[in-house]
Amino acid sequence: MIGGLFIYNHKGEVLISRVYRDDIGNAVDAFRVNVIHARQQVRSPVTNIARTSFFHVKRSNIWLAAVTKQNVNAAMVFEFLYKMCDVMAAYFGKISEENIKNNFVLIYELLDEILDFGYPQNSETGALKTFITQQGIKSQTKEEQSQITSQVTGQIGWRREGIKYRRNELFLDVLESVNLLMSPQGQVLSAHVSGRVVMKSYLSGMPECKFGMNDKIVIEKQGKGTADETSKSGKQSIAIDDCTFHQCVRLSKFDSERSISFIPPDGEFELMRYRTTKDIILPFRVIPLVREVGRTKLEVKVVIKSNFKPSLLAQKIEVRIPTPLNTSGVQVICMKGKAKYKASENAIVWKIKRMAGMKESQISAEIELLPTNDKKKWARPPISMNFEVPFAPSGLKVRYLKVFEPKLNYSDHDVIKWVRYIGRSGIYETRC
Amino acid sequence: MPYLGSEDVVKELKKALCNPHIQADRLRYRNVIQRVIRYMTQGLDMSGVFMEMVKASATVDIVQKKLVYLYMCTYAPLKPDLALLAINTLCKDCSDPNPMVRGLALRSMCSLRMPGVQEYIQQPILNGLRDKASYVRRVAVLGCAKMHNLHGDSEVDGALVNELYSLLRDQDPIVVVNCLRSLEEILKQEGGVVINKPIAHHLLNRMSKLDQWGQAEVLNFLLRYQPRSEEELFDILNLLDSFLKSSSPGVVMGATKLFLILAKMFPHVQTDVLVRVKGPLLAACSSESRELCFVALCHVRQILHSLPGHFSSHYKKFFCSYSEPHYIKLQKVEVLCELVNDENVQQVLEELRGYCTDVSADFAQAAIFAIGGIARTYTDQCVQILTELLGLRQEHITTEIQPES
Repeated sequence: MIGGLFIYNHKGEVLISRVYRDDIGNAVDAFRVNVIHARQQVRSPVTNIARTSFFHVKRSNIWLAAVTKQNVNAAMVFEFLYKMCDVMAAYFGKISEENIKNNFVLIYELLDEILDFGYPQNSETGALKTFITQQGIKSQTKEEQSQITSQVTGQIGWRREGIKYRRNELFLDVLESVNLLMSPQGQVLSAHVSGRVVMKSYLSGMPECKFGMNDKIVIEKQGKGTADETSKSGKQSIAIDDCTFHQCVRLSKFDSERSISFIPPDGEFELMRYRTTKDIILPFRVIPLVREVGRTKLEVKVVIKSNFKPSLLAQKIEVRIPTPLNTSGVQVICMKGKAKYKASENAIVWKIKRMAGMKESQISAEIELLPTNDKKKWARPPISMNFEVPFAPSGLKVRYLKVFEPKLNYSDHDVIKWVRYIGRSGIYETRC
Repeated sequence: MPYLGSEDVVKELKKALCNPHIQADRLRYRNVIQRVIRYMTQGLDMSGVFMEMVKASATVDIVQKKLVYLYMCTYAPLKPDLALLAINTLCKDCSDPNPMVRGLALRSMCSLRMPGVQEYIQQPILNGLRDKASYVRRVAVLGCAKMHNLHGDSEVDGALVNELYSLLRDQDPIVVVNCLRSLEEILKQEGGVVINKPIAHHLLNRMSKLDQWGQAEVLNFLLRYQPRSEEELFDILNLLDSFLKSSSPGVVMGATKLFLILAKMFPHVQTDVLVRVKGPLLAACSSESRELCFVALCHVRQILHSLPGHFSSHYKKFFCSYSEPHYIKLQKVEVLCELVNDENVQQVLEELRGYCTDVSADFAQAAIFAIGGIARTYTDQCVQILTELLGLRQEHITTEIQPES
């Protein structure tokens, strides 16, 4: 499927090269010339040159490219490239030129295992760690050998038997990214939240877990009444548009009773990914006011209102107010945080370290413009925001995560459980 | 790396590899070999130390073996007579008690791209196909394909093909998928692997046990299977329905393609199929990952070509955010152009009008072109907008509008 895989640094020098098919001859150079050193700034992730397709992904300043002459499933190739990056990161941390150079032997070993003859093979990090040898020989005992084969071909490929921990703990992270596009009149043009539930479990044996959240369909099924009643009693539920689960979740149970039950892999894994588009709590409301004074001045006033419980604190708040290209000087006044005009980015960047809920902050700026002969009307780019909030903007709440391991002597109560919610801004734009 | 110094480097490494002190110390030996590989990657010609590397392959250290095999696979085509010496060690390792060593040796032997190696490979591969360890079987199956690739002109070995077809029923899911891929390559002249009814049903039943790569491949192979009756078609659709919501975007795309092709054969099922496919595709279009978003948008465009107006009610999802990369915005504009209908034309035109004054000239021109496209059906509104834009007197806008009128 994949004819060749190449990794380049930012200069276009080849760090890793693996060719699987004979017809990928000069692809290495072709990619460098046509993509890395191309004059355009942003290149499409798929490039077609002379009946050869180049798919690439960039991580910091490293280029990973997959080349093929066949009609392949594009999404599959990108997924493989992401997986490749994940596996490398799991072994040696950040993907940088130095790390790649220091671990190039390991990378070749990995490529052999996960992309034999250009076809993706087993790429589960857990299984790989058992047979990629890093330091010295591991003369395997018969037991270990049989464990490896059973893990790879056994019923449950993602968890091996006989795991023991003194302290049984699990951590649930609900990581969400809220995206918003708002019109100048304050109307929501499009908003969606994409989230993932990541679980880190340190549990002994082969525990059965059941995950419950405030899913609208489940609550209605449980006969707690119609939607009106639930909102009256203060219990909020969320309607999930679509969700996908890790391989370990039993989908048949989800389809029939909407319950999420699974035997988790040891350590960290992503339990589910979901998207919601309804009833989103937009953590911030941005109200812009722009006034043009003649042709030489622009008065901008932006108010941000935080829309969540007063006891919670939002962090790392950054508001970017774009300025025209012919700006000569900017004067800003803000009561909270620090605002600076960055000429190189054509924007006023206002940073607030922390902000509690149900509060308001304001910034006013006077932008002086250079007189131009250009009669070009400045199309105002939207005001964008970045922030981090300790709750889930979709409204998702973890109701329970029950653990059953009948064979060992610990019960659900003995397991120490931690939950945290991290909501981040994705593309959060307000047009003005 | 300066190429001038390569001869000195080769000499130095040769000396180091022959040094008995270094050979005795496992770690130092491995370090020298690593240096050879590093220079090789950087483009220096390291074929001068081939003999020493062959000697180094006779070791118990698996890591060292891997390095040496890697070296040999790269230089074997250049020094075929020396490579034959290495084959002895490889053949021996193919019968090693450790399945990983067996698999590694087999894989390396199959990657030796040089003439004459075929006669040595055949027996180890056949042994590998029947090996107890699934790891070795996987390697052996792909080895058949590699062997065939090397000697494309030779006749297809019927016995081997039969063996591979029977391995489709293997216990290990990866072996099964590798068999499909191998057969596809070997039988390329005859149109690839044949998917008849028993094989198709067998694969469908095992889909849930495969990993995401296997699932995507099988979905691709199922494209050539034609269900005989509508009942069978619906059985297949229901079975594969869950894959439309898979966590792997590649599987989702593969399933979408299969569904759409099945729908073509049975047109009255088309609406049902499109309904099932719409949700996952739209979700993929707003994916966080840019590359997958781009791929999903390309798919949506393809669908709209043959079935225009299908996503019309979801036009808002294709509005562009300012900070999105160029290539995604261009795709979205094209999609907006195709899904215009009476209900949404006003809003779509307004949105496109906003893009026409964008900072990027390319994007602005694309938006104008899109308005021009819509103008064929909704002339009045478009002409009004285009005239307004002309009034702004901006060069790049005016040049684009002229051909439109």
